[in-house]
Amino acid sequence: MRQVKDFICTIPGKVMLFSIDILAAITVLICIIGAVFMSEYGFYSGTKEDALKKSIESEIQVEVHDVVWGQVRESVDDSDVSSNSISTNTNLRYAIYDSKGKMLVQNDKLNLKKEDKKWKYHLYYCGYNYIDEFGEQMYGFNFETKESMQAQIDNGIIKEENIYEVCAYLETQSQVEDVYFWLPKIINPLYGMRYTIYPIGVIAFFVAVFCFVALMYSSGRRADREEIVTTIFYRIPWDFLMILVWIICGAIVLAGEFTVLVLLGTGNGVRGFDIWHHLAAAKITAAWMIVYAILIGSVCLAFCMSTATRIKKKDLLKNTVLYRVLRWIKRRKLWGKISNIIKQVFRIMARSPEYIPLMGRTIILLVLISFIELFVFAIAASGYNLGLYFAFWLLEKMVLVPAILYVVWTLKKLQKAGMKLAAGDMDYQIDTEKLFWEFKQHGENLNHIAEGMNLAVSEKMKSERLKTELITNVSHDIKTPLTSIINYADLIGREKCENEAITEYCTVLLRQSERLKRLIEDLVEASKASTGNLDVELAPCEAQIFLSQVFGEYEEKLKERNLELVTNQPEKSIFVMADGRRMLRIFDNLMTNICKYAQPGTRVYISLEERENNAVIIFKNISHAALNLSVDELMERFVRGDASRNTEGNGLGLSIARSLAELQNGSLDLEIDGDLFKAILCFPMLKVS
Amino acid sequence: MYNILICDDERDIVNALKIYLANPNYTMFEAYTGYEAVKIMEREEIHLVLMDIMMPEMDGISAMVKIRERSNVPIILLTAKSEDTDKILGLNVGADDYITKPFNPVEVAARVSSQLRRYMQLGSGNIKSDEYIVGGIEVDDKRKQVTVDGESISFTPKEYDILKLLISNPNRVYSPKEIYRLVWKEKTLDSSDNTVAVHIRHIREKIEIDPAHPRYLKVVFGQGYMMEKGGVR
Repeated sequence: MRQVKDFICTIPGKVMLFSIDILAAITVLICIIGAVFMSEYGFYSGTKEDALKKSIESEIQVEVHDVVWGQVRESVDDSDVSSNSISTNTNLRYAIYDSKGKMLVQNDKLNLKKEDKKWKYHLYYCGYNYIDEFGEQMYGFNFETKESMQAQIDNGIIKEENIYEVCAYLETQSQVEDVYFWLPKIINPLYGMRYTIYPIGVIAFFVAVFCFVALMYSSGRRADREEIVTTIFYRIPWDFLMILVWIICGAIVLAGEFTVLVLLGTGNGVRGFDIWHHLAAAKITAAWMIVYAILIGSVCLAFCMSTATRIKKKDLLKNTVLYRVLRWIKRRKLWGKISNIIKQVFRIMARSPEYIPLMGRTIILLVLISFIELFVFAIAASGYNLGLYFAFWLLEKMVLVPAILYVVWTLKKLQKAGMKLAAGDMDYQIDTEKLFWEFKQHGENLNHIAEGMNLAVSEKMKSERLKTELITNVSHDIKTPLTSIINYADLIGREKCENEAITEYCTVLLRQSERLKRLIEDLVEASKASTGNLDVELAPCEAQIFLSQVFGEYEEKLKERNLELVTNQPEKSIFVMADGRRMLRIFDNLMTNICKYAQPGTRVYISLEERENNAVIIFKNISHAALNLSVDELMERFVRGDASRNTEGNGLGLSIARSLAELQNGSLDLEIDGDLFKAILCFPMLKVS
Repeated sequence: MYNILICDDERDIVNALKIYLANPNYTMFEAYTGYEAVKIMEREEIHLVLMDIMMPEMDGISAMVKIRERSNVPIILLTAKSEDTDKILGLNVGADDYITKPFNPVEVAARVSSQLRRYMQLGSGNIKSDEYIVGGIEVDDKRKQVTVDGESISFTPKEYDILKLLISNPNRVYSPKEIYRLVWKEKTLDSSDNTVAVHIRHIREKIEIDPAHPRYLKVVFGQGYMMEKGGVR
C-alpha cells in the first residue's frame, strides 16, 4: 500500500494516472454516445438487418430531402428548381414518384416502375395539413414510414395526393466509399458489441473516478518530500487560471472546427451532409473529436490537480487576483471610501422615489409596463408565438393582480382608519408594519393625527377637571367663612333688639348669605355636570312616577305662589333609563324656576307624551315678566329670566338641568312663545317586555 | 350630663356651635386640631364628637381613625366637603353622621340629640315585636304611636299606615301604585292621582329634621319611596 502511494506520487506515476484517467473518461463518453445511438437505431429491439436498414434509411432521408423538396415546390408553384443537388457521387440509386405513380426525378438512368422489385427502400414524403388542438393550422412535409403514413391517412392528417414516394436501392458493384459503403462495416461490429459496451462503460467510469481521486491525492505531493510541492502553474492566480482554461478550451474547439473545414472544404467540394457521407471526412472528424476530448480533458484535469494542490496549501482563495485586489484596497485603507461610495449609491437609489413626485413615479411605472407589454407583444406577433404572449400575460397578471389587490387592501385599511378617526375613535392605530411607501407614510400621518387629537382631548379633559377641582376647592374655602357669617347673622337675629332696623338688616344678611350658599353649591354642580365629572347610575324608571312625585313635592310651594299644577299623562306606563338623583335635580331646578317666574294665579302644566320612542315631558307656564331673552341666552350660565337680577336665583339652574339631562342620554330644550315658557325634557324610551 | 367635643380649626364656628348647643345637659370641650381632639378623648369621657375634616396638624379623618381605635362614641363630621365621595369615605371610616357646611344650626342640634339618644339609650337594641325602629323613628304598632328622637308625633290613620308599611320593610322601594293598593286596599290608582305623593310629603315633614334632605323617608325618583335603614345618606 505504501509503495503504491509512493509510486503515484512520483512523476511517472502521475503521468500514468493522468493518461489512464483521460482514456477512461473518453471511453465512458464513447460508450454513452454509442448506447444512445444504438438505442435510437433499434439495436436492442430488432435484428442486425433491421438496424442496418433503419440507419441506411435515415441516411437516405438526409441525402434525398433537398431533391424531393425541390420537386414538391416545382409541382406547387411551377418554379424551376435546378437539379444541381442531385449527386451521382454516391452508391444510392433512387427515383421519386408522385401520388399518381409518375416518376418525377431519378439520379441515374434507371427508368424503373414504382412497383419494381429492385427497389429495396421505400420512403414516403408526405404533406400534412390539419388543425391542431390549439386551433392552429399545421402544414408541411415530413418523411414517414409506411405504417405511420397509413395511420395519418386514416386520421385525415395526410391526403393521398400529397404523398411523394422515394424508392431506392444501393449499388453493390464499383462502390464509392460513401456512407452506404462503410455503414455496414461499422454496424456489424457495433451490433456485436451492443451489450458489451455497458460493462465496459461502467468499468471505465470506475477506473476514471479512481484515477481522478488518486490524482487529486497525489497532486502537490512527492514521494520524497513531506511538504506540498508546487509547480510553475501555482504562480498563476486561481481565478485567472480558471479563465485561462476556458480560453484554451475554446481555442481548441475553434482550431478543430477550422482544421476540419480546411481539410474537407478545399477537397472535392463536399457540402454539409457529405461530411458524414464520405469516409475520409468521417475519419478526420472522428479523429478530431478524440483529439478535442484528449486536449480539453487534459487541460481540465490539470486545472483540477492545480486546484487540489492549492486546497492542500490552504490558499485556494488567497492566491487569486480578486483577493489581491481586495487586500490592496484594505492595505491602502480604501475600504471606508469604497463602502462610503457604495452606501451613497444605495442611499440615492433608495431615496430616488423622493426626488420624483408620486404622480411622476406612477406615470413612469405605467409607461414602463406599457413598453414591456408592447415589446413582448411585438416579439410574440413577429413569431406567431401565442405561447410566449400567453406566458407573459400570465406572468404580468401574477405580478399585477396581487399588487393591485395590495393597493386596494391598504386603501381599505386607510379608509377604515379615516372613518374611525372621523367617528372620534382616537385609540385606533393603523398597523403600518405591512404598509409600504406612500401608504406607510399616510398611515403614520393618520396615527399621528389620532395621537395629536388624543393629546388635545386629554389636555382638554385635564384642564376641565382641574377647573372643576379648582372650583370645588375654592368652594370649600368660601364655605368655611360663609358658615360663620350665616351662623352669626342668625345669632344676631335671635338676640332681642329694640332697633327694628337691625332686625331688618339681619334678615337681609341671612337671605343674601343663603343665596351665596346656593350659588356656591350650584357653581360646583354646574361645573361638574358640564364636564361630565359626575357619576351617573342609570336604572329603569317609570315616567308617570316622576310626575306624581313632583306633584307631591311641589304642590305646597306652588299653592303658596297661587299656582295650580295640572299633570297630563298616558295610562300606559312609560319607562326610561335615568339616575333618580340627577333626575330629581333636573325637576327641582325646573320647578324652582316655575315657582319663581310663573305668573301667580295661572296654571302650570306638566305633560308626559310618547313621541317616536322618546318619553317627552313638557313643563308649561306663563311667565310673569316679559321674556325678552332668546332661548340660547336663557341656557347660558348666569343668565336669568329677569334682567334686573334682584330676585333670588343665580341663572345656573337651566344650564345644570341641561347638562344633567345630557349626562343621562337625554336632552332639555326650551321654547318661548310670547309669555308661554316651555321646557321640554326628552329621554329615550325603554322597551319593556 | 353629656360631654360633647367640638373640633374645628375655625374658632368662630366652634363658638357658634357652643351657643347653638347650649343646654344644661351638655358640657362642651373644644379642640382646634385633630391632634388636640385625640388628646382630649384620652383624658375625658366624651359622649359625642363634632368634627371638621380639613384641619391643620391632623385632619378629621385621621383623628377619627385614632378615636375609633378605642371608642365607639358617636362622631358627626361637620365639614365644607360636600362631595359624595367625601361623604362615603367619612361614613365608611367610622362617622355616624355627616353634616355639610354651611349648616342649619337647628339641624345640627337635632342630630346631636338624636345621636346621643341612640348612643346612650338604645345601645342594647332590644326590639320588641310590633315595634319598628329606623334611626330615631320608633313605631309602636300596639299603641299606634310614633316617636321621633323620643318625641311623640301624631299622624292621620293613612299616614300612619303608609309609615308602618315603609318602616316594616326598610330599604324596599314601594311605587305609588303599590302603596295605594296596600294602604287604601283599592285596586287601581289613577296615574294622574297624586294622593300618595302628597301624603308622603306630609309624613316627611313630621319625621325629618330637614324635609328637603330627608334621612329616613327617601324619594327614589322615578321609582317610588323607601325607608332607609343603616345609612345616613
